[in-house]
Amino acid sequence: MDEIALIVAAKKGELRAFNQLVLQYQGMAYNLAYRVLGDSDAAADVTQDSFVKAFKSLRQYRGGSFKAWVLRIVTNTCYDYLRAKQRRPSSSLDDLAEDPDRAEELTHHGEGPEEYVMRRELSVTIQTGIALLPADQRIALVLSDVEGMSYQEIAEVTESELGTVKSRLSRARAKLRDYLQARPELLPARYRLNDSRMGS
Amino acid sequence: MFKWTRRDSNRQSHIASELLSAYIDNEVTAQERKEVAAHLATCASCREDLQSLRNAVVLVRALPRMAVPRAFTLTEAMVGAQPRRARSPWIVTYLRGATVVAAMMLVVLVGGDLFLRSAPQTPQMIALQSPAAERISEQPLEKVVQETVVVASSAAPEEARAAESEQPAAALAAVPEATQPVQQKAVRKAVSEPEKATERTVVEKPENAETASPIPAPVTEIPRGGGSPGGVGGIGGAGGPGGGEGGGSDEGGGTGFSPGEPVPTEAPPQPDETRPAESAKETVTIADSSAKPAQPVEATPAVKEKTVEKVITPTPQIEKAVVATPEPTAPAVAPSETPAEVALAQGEQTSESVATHPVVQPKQTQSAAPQPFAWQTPLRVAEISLGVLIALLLAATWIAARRP
Repeated sequence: MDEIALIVAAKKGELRAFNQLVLQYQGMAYNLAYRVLGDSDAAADVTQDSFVKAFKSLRQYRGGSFKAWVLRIVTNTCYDYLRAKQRRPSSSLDDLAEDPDRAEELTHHGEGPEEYVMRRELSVTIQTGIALLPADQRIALVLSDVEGMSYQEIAEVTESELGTVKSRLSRARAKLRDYLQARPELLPARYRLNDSRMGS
Repeated sequence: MFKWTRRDSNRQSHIASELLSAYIDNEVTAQERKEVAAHLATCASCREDLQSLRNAVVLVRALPRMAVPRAFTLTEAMVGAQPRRARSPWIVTYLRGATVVAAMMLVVLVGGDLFLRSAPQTPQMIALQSPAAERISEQPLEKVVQETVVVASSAAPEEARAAESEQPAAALAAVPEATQPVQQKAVRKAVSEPEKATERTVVEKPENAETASPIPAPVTEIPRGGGSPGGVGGIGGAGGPGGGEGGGSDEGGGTGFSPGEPVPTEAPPQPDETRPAESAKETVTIADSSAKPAQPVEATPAVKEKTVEKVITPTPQIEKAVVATPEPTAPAVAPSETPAEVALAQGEQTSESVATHPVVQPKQTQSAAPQPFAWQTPLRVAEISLGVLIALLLAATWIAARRP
């Protein structure tokens, strides 16, 4: 069944059809929650809660991008989680130091152990830098650079204006750049920002 | 100059970070792209900013995808009965609305039932519902009729009395409107009696005129102050001997008019005998004119009302005439009037009053006692029906909400 048929069936109350949609979007939802919250357990809880909310509010879906609609629920659930838990960047850094061991990253095909370790260290550093950003800038950065969404899609998910999206994203990137440039020892020599060879 | 610019310490213009970030994602217009490219060619600082931003974007985009720890599919326990909510609720909404409406109607019916049952019957309502009330209100009129009969019987010859028995029917027939007040009829009858007497004594009138109407005499022929003014004159005449006959002379003071009062003789434009009704009213008008100017000849509602008023609420003159006649008409009638004729007059009066009586409230109920409760049965039926309907609607609503 295509996505539209699954959505129609799910709106009628067919749980099986909705679970097909869950399997299709759960990876994207989980990664978004993980990058925003910086914690695998929190990301799992938020992802599960988001899909439950999505099923209960299917009547409110009036068409358009179903992907954006699901990610909007995940984003709002992340906001609710952050407000409820009152997580601070300093505390998140301690959690992040251990999180890479718990979180399982997808391995690249043909990647050696040394490269894997280096990649993991870079991930931790970047994740730490992202965790220091304000929630709205963090979400804009993850939606753009992690999920690969366009400015318009980001505006639809965050329910904000296009100019606001541009502003938040530019600030997030600038802050992350400044964070990484201030800690070049944390970056592998290959990934040091000042290295012109990194330019794409 | 660019839309988004910044100045360094040397106040040199540079491209703002926001524009550079959008430039990285190709989220700029063609004009902006051209200008940025042109500036980058000449500004090393902006080139370094662009590069550093681009590297950060690359690093973030290079972050590995995280594997989901488990499947996040939902179970029935997680959503409970929520899947049922996906069904269109419009049926349930309509059923609930119908149930509410039916319940409100039932409340109104029950409330109205209780209110009507508890509402006390006022004496006026009870009186009006009873036939006795009509007789009571008709009493003054009956007095007039009886007194008229007395006058007619005392003064009129046998033929007048016989004609009198016929007159009521003829009078009723002559009246064009069935709803004319009884007082008018009584007045006409009273007028007819002395007039007949007057006619026979003064003017010869054809029988058909009398048959056509009980009031044949034209105004001019009616003596002043005579018994012409309907029952008034008759009443007044009753006080004296041959009041009806005496009406032919000015001595018909029995009319009750105070001496000296002008009694303009309103000469009707037509002495037509075929229009006795008008002449009768004219006579009445004359009698009434003692206090008022001439009345229109035509039987206008105003005249009728005055006629009615005079009978219903006797004027002082009439009252005097009435007083002149003993209240209990029976004794006054007894010596000269046969009980049958009195009963006949009373019966006629009663029948007429039964038919139309403006004073008395129209008889709405023949039997007063059961009337207020005549609506109980249909009201109960309606209440029970609404109760059953509400139960059915509730059941349908429950079924519709439960079914998938």
